Amino acid sequence: MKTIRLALLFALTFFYSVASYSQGVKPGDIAPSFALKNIDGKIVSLGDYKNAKGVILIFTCNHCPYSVAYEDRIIALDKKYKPQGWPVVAINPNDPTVQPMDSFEKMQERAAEKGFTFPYLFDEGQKIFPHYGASRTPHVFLLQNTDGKFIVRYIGAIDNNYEDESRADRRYVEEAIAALEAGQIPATSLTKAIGCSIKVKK
Amino acid sequence: MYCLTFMKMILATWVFLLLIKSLDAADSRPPVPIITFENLQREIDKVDDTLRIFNFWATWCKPCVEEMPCFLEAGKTFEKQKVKLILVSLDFRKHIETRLLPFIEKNQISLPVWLLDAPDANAWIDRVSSQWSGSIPATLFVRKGERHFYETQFDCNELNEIIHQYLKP
Repeated sequence: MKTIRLALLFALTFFYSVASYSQGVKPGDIAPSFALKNIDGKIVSLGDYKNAKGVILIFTCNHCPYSVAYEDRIIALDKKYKPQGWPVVAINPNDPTVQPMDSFEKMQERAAEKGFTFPYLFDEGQKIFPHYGASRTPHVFLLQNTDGKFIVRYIGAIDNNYEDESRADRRYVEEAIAALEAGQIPATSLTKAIGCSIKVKK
Repeated sequence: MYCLTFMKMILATWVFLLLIKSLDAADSRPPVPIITFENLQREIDKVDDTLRIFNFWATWCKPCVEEMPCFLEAGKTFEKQKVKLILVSLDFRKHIETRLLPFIEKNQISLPVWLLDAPDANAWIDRVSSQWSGSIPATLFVRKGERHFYETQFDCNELNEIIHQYLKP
């Protein structure tokens, strides 16, 4: 049994990247649809945004210090871009039995404390995040509404300094929206960042 | 003339005492070097028959903290062999005093801990491994220029077997 597990682990090392990318989306793909419960109890779906230019979809959560470090920046993104047609939608992908700080009730508390201006959805049963290939929190997927279809245009970090916003000299999400507004495909469509792994029961 | 020499001696003694005192203070808690990615890369790129293991972790990362005892144990198990374990902390710089040092003390971490101060992670994650999505825990094994990367939480048996495997000539 031990050997099998080890062999599996070795195999995983070699196929991890292939597997993780084939499961998720990449820039240019159609965004998987979702209908998830918001902290106010109402169901929010991608279809609700058919009149928006796009959606800044962010997998984030309560417990992760990287997510917490970005909370104010996520609120600022929503305040700046919602009036321009690019609202933020946040999804908590974690299993609260693994990380109790990420329960639905705690989500409601945190959103109230911070004054979230955007929907904060709960990926109940963890069905949505694997379709996107989200691997950590926070993880941004910028979706552009193209004739009613949402196309993934950017995947990655919000900017290039998690610790100190004032020292960030690349604001990836803002750059991507600016490019799309100018009718171009974002030059940087994929970035990596350190984050908390998404908590799944073993 | 004598007076000047005497003054110099006093000054020299004073400087000496000050130096001893500062060394003492540095010794009283575990030193955590703050490194850039280039510092880390220099260590990763060393090509010899020492197995270097870089465990990327943080005090706030639950699975990292759970697997930490396995790394501490491996440090003891492979003490006499050519194995070098380095715990690369991704804690925030502002949390060194409040979280990282107390964690090291509380858990009696005897392995070297380096704080990687490189917030522009997109610039270096691929240079550790193109397979890395960026979540932690993650561990890189390097020996004789050969690299193996795992974005996973180890149990102690797995870790030991992997180290044995990579130590084979």
